[in-house]
Amino acid sequence: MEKVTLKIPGNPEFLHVLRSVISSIGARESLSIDELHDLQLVVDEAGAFLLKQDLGAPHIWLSVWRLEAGIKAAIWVEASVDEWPQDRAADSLPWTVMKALTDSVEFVTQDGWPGIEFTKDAQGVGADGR
Amino acid sequence: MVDSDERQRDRERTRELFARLPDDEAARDELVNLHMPLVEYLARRFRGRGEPLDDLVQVASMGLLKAIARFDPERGVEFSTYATPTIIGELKRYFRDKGWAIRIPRRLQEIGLQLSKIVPTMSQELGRSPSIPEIAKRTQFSEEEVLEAMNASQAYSLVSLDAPTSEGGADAFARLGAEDESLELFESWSSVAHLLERLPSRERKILYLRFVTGETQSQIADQLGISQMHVSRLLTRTLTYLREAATADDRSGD
Repeated sequence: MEKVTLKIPGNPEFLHVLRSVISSIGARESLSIDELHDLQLVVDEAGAFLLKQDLGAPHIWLSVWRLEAGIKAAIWVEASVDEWPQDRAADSLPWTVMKALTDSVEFVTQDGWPGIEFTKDAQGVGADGR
Repeated sequence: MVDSDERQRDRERTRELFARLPDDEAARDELVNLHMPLVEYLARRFRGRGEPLDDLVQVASMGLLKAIARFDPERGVEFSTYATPTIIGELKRYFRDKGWAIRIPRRLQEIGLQLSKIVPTMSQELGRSPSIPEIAKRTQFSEEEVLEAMNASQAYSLVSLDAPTSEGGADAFARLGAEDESLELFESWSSVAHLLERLPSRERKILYLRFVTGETQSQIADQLGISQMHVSRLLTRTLTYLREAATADDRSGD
């Protein structure tokens, strides 16, 4: 599966870069404009959620995979945690939003670093998106 | 350092002054003067973004005037708690508008304008929101241009998590009675129920339609008679507000 990966500084002011990248890839993967906007919100929520954990992460990473009709993405931070997800994370507002806007979402670790992985399927647009 | 007695005196004076509004101009002026330290403090938090501090203070002062005009002392919220998000909102809007004027090329603005018209039409025709290639084909713009315009229309920067936020009283908005549908929203979003109560009814309805009934942004736009882009912006703004206010709550509870 082809994958795009990038890292940005661990600062919320750079999350717009992730938003642009994910919508740019999603636009070519049959996602509608509604679904692209949803993806941008999910990236905001996931990025802000990870940064809010105050883990002192120097970078945030994003990986995006192309699916047959949709995309899968993972966002994670360079930080070590004893417990992931942390207590009550699944009761939080960001998690509620991420669950509502994606087709699947879960807490993951990438090489021991805490992250969030999600998928967004293309609904309704033709198979080739055109 | 302002001591607590002084703060208490200011609060009492503020209440007295609000009791003299809306007819007493002198009371309004004194309210403005009394809260200029808050205005200047918030304006300073937005320094370093290329705008002179004097301009920022002026913008923040406009926010203060709006807050004074909208504040209802009967609600039992401290005025400074009420005014803070209004002032911050004014500052953010200033940067957003300025950013648009300076950084977004005119052509993208024009494309964005066309998108705001064509997307609702196409959504109606297709029965779903269109994809970027579909919009490009219809408008004769390239896919890149459409995508760029879409991203530009979302042009806002997420404020720093350390930025000043209201502590549970964030309300540039009127406190409105909860509709039945909002109760359902409150149940599923219990951790931020106290913040949802403070949202304007339209923003609350958008959250309800998107997250409880699962309607798309385009469907919500149809129902509310606004553009899908506008729904997207309102959703982004509302979620950002909730996230910031919840963070402030968490910190004050630490």
